[in-house]
Amino acid sequence: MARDSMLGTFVVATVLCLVCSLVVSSAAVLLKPYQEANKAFDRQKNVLMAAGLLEDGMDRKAIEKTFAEVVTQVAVKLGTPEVVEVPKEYDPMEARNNPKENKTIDVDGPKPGLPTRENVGFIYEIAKAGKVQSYVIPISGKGLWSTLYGYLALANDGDTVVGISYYEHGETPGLGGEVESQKFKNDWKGKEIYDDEGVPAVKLVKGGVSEPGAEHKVDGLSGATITSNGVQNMVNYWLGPDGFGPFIKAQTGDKSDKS
Amino acid sequence: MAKQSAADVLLKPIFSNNPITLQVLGICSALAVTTQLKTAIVMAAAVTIVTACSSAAISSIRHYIPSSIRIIVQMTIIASLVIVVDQFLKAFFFDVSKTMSVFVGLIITNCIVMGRAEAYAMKSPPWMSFLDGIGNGLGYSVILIVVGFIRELFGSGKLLGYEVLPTSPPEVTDGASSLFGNLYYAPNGLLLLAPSAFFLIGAFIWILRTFRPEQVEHE
Repeated sequence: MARDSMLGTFVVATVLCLVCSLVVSSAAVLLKPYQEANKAFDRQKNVLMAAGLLEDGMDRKAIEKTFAEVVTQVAVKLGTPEVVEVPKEYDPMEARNNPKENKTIDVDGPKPGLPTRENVGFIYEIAKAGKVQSYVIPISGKGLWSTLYGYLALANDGDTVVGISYYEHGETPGLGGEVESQKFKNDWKGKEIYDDEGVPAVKLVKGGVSEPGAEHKVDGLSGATITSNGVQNMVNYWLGPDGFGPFIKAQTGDKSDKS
Repeated sequence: MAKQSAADVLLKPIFSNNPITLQVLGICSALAVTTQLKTAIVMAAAVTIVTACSSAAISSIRHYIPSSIRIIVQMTIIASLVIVVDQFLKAFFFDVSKTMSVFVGLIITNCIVMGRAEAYAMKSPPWMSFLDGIGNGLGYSVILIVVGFIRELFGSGKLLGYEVLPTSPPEVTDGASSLFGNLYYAPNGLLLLAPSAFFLIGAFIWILRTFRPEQVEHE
C-alpha cells in the first residue's frame, strides 16, 4: 500500500482520528471529577465574593470553612415567596433543561435571554450570629456570545446591593469580559434595585452615572453594550416577580410603600 | 544542513535561533498572556509541552503521513494535545485556566508548534524532534517570562500576585516610618495593555541583535 495512494490516505486519516479522539475523550472523562470539584468550589468562592466575605490570602480550606459557617442554602419556588424542600441531588441547572421542572420564560419586561427557567432555585442566606446579613441570588442570562452566570448579593433591607460576581462566561476578554473586573464590581456596591413601585429598576448606562435615579444606575462596560444590556436584563429579571423578587420581599418587607 | 548534536538542537533555539526574536513566530500569544507572570509561566510550560509532544508524535509517524493531508494530520495531533493540556489545566490549575480563558485553546494556532512540526519534525527522528520542541518551547518561555516579569512588576507593582512595589502610600502608624518613607509606586497602566509587549519584544530583539550581529537580516 503506497502512502500517497487514495486508500493509504484514507487509512492514515481514519486511524489518526480514532487515536486522537480516544486520547481526547479519555482525558476529558478521567479529569472530569477534578474539574467538577473545582467548579463547585469556584461557585462557593463567588458566593462569598459577592457577599464581600472573601479576603485576600484565604486558601481553599479557609474559604470552604467560611462557606460552611455562614452560608445557608435555601430552595425557593421561583415567582412565589415559598420555601420548598428539594432532594439532596437537585441541581437547578439541570432542572432548567428538564421539561418537568422548568417553565418557559414569557414575561413582559426584562428577559434574561434564556428560553426556560427552573421552577425551584437556590438562594444563599449569609447569616452572622443568627441574623441574616445578606441574600446571595444566582443570576444568569445571555450576553453577546455566551450565557453569563454569577451572583448578586443584596443586603438584608432587600434593596441595597452588597456585591456582584460572575463566575462563568464566554464574553470577549477586555470588553464584555470586564464583568469580572474589580471596577465593574465596585460600581455596583450600594446601588438600590427596586424603585418606588417595588419594580427592579437597575440600568447600565453609557457615559457615566447621572441624576436622576443615580441610585439605580451602574456605569456600563465600554465596547460591550450587548453584554451590559444582558447584565441589566438578567438582574432585573431574577430579582423581579418571575424570579426571586417575591421571596426577597416576603423576607424583608415590601418596599413599595416606602418614601 | 549538517548533522546537529542533541545539545545544539536543545539549546540553540534559546538564544541563537530564538523562535520569537529570530523566527518571529508566536508573537500573538506573547502579547495576550504576559500581563501577569503566573499566566506567562503556565502558558510557556503548556506551549513547551505541546511543541515537544506534537513534534515527537508527528516525527514518529512521518513515514506514514501522506503528503496530500500532512498539514491536516499535524493540526489534528496538535489540536488533540492542546485539548488534553486544557483539560489538565482546568482540573489542576483552575484559577490560572480561568484567567487564560481562550488563550490555552489558541495554542493550536501558535505558529511555533506548527512551524516546528513542518520545518523539523517531518524530516527528523522522534527523539531529536522532541528535543527540538523542548528547545523552541524554552526559547519562547524565556521571552514570555521576561516580558511577563517586566509587565507585572511595572504594570501592577506585583510579582506572581505578591506586592513588590507598594502602590499606595503606607498607612500612617504612630510616627514609625517604613524603609522607603512615604514613597510609593504609581503603576504604569500602559504596561498592562498589549502595545507594551510589542515595545518589550522589540527591545529584546534589538538587544539580542546588537550582541549577535549575525542575526541581523541583510537587504
